[in-house]
Order: sequence, then structure tokens, then C-alpha cells
Amino acid sequence: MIDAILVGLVAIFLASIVIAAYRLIRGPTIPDRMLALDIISYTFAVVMALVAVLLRSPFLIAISFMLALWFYVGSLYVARYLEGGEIGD
Amino acid sequence: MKARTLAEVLFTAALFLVLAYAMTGYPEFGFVRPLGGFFLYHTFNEGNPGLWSGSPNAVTGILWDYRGYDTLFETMVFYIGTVAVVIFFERRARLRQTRGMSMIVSASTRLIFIFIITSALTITIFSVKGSGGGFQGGSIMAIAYVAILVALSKGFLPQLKINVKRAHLLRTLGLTIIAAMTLTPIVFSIATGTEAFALQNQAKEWAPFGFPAFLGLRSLSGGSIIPIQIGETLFVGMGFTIMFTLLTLKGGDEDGDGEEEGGGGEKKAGKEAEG
Amino acid sequence: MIDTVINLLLVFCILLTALSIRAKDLLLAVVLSGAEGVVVAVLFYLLLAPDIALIQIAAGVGIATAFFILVLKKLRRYEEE
Repeated sequence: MIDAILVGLVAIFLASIVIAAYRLIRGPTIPDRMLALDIISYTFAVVMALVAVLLRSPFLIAISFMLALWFYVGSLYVARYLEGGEIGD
Repeated sequence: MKARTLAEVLFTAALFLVLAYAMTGYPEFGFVRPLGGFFLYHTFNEGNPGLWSGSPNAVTGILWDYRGYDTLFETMVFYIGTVAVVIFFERRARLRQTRGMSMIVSASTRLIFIFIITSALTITIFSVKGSGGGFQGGSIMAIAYVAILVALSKGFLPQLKINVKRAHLLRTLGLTIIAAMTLTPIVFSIATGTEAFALQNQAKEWAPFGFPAFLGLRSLSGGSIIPIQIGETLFVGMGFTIMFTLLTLKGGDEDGDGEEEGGGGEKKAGKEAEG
Repeated sequence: MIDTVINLLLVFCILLTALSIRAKDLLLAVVLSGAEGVVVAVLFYLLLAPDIALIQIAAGVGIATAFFILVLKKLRRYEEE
């Protein structure tokens, strides 16, 4: 029962990734694409956590933490670049 | 200030515990994948002591007895990369605090910094049980400093007690730990006249040298792995920090002592914010 | 089912790589290669190689993007015809 619910949730999240991927590929400006990429990577983190629950292997959860943290830093770089300042100032 | 430091320490400790629980969890007892079965057969197989690596911890056996030279050469390549960056970009610099990004980003980056450092330590130490390792922990630690560089400006690094000189010292410390753990079996072999080989971890029938098990439990610590992973983390993390700090320094930055300048710059920035 | 997901992710990965090669705006190329790094990390994860996924996330998404943007700051952003 719980496995069926988890598989359904994974399917829903994957569908939302497809929608965001459309915006990532088509999106006219860089901030559009960056937001789409943020959504994609955070959703992938959720999918990873769900898959870890589905496979009953807790040590896989750590990877989803890392992906979420990473993408925070990744979007910081691009935001910093678009803001116009020198990185490090 | 005291209450805030206490809150930070408690936050870090709670995160460490949660991540440690997540990293050391097990699948149901007795579940072994086929590849895992192969490595278990060759790491600690009581029935066939000619083949085993002698390590009661299978992760240590694979990482250190089967892939030891891989890790060693990775470290060497990374060392050469760091040396190249240092040769081309080294300048002594005064780190001045500048504006950085907006307050929301700065505040959340401080929280994320604690989270990233904690998870780097967790990944390093608990790599004996789950996924992870020294290189991963080191690059995760480096990313924390890079986030601080990007969001809070390079003048914030001295407040974290990090400057290029100290980073060099810590990196050398990590490298020294790795070299000592690598060369100890050879020194032991020369001193006692018995057989031993570089990167040896546990005793075998024909090579009686073995590192003592730390923390009392052999299967938890697996001999030499925890010091080596901590050394690797320091080495890789500080190497990347040096690279990024040197790459973001500009020609206009002059000589000077980084630490005091950072503090002074902060006061100046505070005044500007008030005005 | 997991095979289908892996195949779709591989196609997506190839698409992102092709787009990032074709992009004239180099910042866009950096963003798209970051996206490709995320997808490759998810692939490693689904193939049950969590430590390789960790390296891919740390090096491919974090450090490579940082280096590219640092270099991009010192170059022109748009590639000429």
C-alpha cells in the first residue's frame, strides 16, 4: 500500500520535472532558466528521498541533502554574476 | 553573543546527530547485493585467509587495500593542480570587507555554511559505514567557503579564522597525516625485519603489521581509515579554498595582515550601512 | 519502470549537452551544463552508486560551475559569430 503511494508520488514529481524542463529549455531569459533549474534540482532531491524510502536504505538520504544544498550555492553564483559585481567583492 | 554561540553549537550538534543517523542506517539485516557479496568474500573471509585483506570493515578493505593507490594518485594530481594555481596567482593580499549580497542572502548563507560544514564532517567520519569519503567531504567543505566568498565577500574569510597562509598550513597538516599513515608500515618493516607494504592497514598471515583499531571497535573504525579520511578532507578542502581565494583576489589588493584588516573593514562597512 | 526513467534521463542529458554546446550566450551554457551535472548525479543515484553521485554533485555542480563563472567574469559573455 505505502509502496504504491510512494510510486505515485514519484510519478507526480517526475511529471512536474517535465514541466519545469520545458521552461528550462525554452525560457527566454537567464533568470527564467535558473528558476526552472532550481525547481528541477529541488524536486530531484525530493525524488531521491522518496526513492530512498522506497528502497528502505537510509544512507541514500544524505545525497538528497547534498543536492539541495548544492543547488543553493549554484544559484548563488549565477545570481552574483547577474547582479554585476565581481565575485569575492 | 554567548547565547548565540551556544545556539550555533547546539544547532551544529543536532544536525550532526541527524546526519550521522541518516548515514549509518542499515537496510534490513542480511540484505547483500551480488557485488557486495563478492567484496565481502574477499575482505574478511575467515575460511580463506590467503585472499582476504584482513580488514573487518569491508568499506575500509575496498577503499584502502584494493583502491589505495587510486586514492594516493588522486591526492597527487590534486596537489599538482593546487601548486599550479598557487604559482600563477599567488599574491599577498589584504582582505577588505565589502558589501557582499543582500541581507537575506547573507543570513541564509550563514545558516547554510554551518549545515555544509557539518555534513562535510559527517560524510568524512561516517564514510566507514556509508557512502562518502575524504575527497567528497573536502570538496563539500570547500563549497562552504566558496559560498561565503560569493555571498558575503572575501573580507569575511578572516572572521572564520581562515586566510591563505593558515589554509596552506592546514593543507600541509592533512598531507602529513596521509604520508605518515602510508609510510608507517614501511618504517615498521625496516625496523623489525618483517614483511609489510605501503598502505597496509590490517595484519595478514605473511605481514604482521596492523594499525590499532581506534575507538575500541575494530569493525567501526577499521584501523587507519578515519585519520586518513580526515587528512584527505583537510587537504582537499583547504586546497580548493586556496584556489578560489587566489582566483578572486585582484591586482589592486596590497600586502598586509589579513586578519586585522578584516575586522576593521567590518566596522567600516557597518558605518556605511548606518549612514 | 526504472529502466524507462533512466532512458528518459539519458535523453534529457544529451539534449542539455547539445543545447549548451550550441548556446551563444556563455552564461546560458554554464547554466545548462550545471543542469546536465544534476541529471548525471541523479543517474548515478538511480544506478545505486551514492558516493560517485556525491563526487558528481560536489565537483560537477558546485566546483565546475564556480570555476566557469569566475572565468566568465574575466572574458566576454557573448560568443561572436
